[in-house]
Amino acid sequence: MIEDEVNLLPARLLERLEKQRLFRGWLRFFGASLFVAICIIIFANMQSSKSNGQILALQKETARPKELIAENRRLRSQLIREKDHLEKVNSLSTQHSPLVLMSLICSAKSEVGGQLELKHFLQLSNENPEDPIEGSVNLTMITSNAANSAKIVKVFEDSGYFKEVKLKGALEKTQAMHDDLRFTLFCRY
Amino acid sequence: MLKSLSKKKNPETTSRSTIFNPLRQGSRSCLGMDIGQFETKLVWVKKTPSGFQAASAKMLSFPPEELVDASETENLAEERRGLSVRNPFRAQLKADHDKDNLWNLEEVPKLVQRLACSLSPQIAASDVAVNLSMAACDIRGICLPDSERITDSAIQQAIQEATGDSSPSSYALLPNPKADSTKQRTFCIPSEATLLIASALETNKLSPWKIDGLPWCKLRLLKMMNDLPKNHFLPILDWSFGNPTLTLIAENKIKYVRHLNVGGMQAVLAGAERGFGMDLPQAVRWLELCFESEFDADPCALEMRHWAIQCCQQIVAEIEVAMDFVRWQFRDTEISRLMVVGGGGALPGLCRALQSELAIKVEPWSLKLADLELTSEFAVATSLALSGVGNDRR
Repeated sequence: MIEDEVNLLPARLLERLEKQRLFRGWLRFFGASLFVAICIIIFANMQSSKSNGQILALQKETARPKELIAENRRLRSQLIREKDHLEKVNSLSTQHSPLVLMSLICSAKSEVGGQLELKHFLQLSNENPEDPIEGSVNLTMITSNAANSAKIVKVFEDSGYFKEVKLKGALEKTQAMHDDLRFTLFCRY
Repeated sequence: MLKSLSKKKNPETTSRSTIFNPLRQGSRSCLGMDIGQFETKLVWVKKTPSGFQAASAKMLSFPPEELVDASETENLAEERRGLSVRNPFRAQLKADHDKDNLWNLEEVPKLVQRLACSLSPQIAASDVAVNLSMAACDIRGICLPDSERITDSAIQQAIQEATGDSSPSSYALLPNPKADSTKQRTFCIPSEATLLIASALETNKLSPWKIDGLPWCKLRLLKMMNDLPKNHFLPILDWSFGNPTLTLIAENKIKYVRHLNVGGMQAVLAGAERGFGMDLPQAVRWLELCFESEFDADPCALEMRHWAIQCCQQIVAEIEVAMDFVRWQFRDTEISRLMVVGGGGALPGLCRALQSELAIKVEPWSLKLADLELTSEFAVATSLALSGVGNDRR
């Protein structure tokens, strides 16, 4: 039977060429598939990182009230601490205020019949960090005689306001012709 | 007898049908390469589902000086004249130099390299279908053994006996002139030549797909036209540098093939070479011009016309013998026209000269393919290219 189409390439060669052609075809197919797959992976990665970012931002946004609550709680506790401290300070400053000292001095003055003159007043703040409420007052006063000075010391001692009341140094005369005595009272609270 | 032979597995068909190729579908392109004795014609066609998208045609001359020694060319025409058709490939296998022909096996790789260099990457990536000049092929009648099954080796052996050459051949069966004959006509090419061409193509990064035979290329051309009425025979004459080949086709079948012993343009051109001292391309150009009316008084032109008309008369004599044989063999047949393919068909003067000698109408082949006007010298290359993109590609 006469063929309508012929191929005079030897059969073995034809078979080899066809195999090569098929191999090239599949190679191109796999190459193209690989390229498409890589493109898809890259695109998916890009999309994933994009959505990850979005999720992270959303999480941050969601976590913000919690942070605010924690901050609020922290500030509140700090506020309470500050308030306590302030109260303590206030109570201390009320206890050792110069007005209290003034009222004591007034009391002492009335005790000695007005024979008292305050020359110098020095309140020293606490120097010992272990005892925050420790402080001292130096009062330089002038009175008419020694008995008055003893009365004054007694008034200060009896007030219960100070831990320790003592005379600092000796009584000294202010002028030779007068009997007025100058003395310094050291009070520690 | 031949029925059993047709059952033989065709490895090409088998591999294509059984193995899935993912890239076989879609657009296809093919480069048709018609390697002639004088010129090589290339036609590239790309087919997409919407039709032919691109086509390009190119002709590359194959200077004979590169193929044989210069000293040989002087006596070439003289030697050609007295010799019958010989296969240059076989001659090459037997002797170092083939003085009869311009063909030389050793030059094939060089030719393919030159062709590959001239191709664009898109064209070079296509499948390549090749047709070799009939000078490289043999049409032989072989005696087959009287057996139920005819094997490939039996045919090979018969061809080797007929040609006297022990090397294997690539062959295809041709129809027998006589139905009851014990002889079988074969179209064969030495396998060494086909292998050499295929390996040369592969070396130059081209994809060999097919080596076709001239009669089948012509059959495909006729199938493309599809305008032949029933009982009409169409003789197709491949008229170019070498001796012409006449193929008679009817009902989409090759009915008769005859390689003529005379009538090749080389004989006409040899006269110009010898008589006017022209080289081959000049002689071809002069053959084109000598039929122009302005050269009516030119003695050289008249001489050339005389040689051409002599050539036409020789062809016509052979064609008439062939047609008489076909009319005798196939009753009630009509032959009304002769189609001319090859370089001869592209020379209007030569066609007119042939027409003046022949009783039937002479029609040079031409085709318009994707805005490209293809003339008869590209007929075989076009047929090859279309075979690679056709729907019935096997």
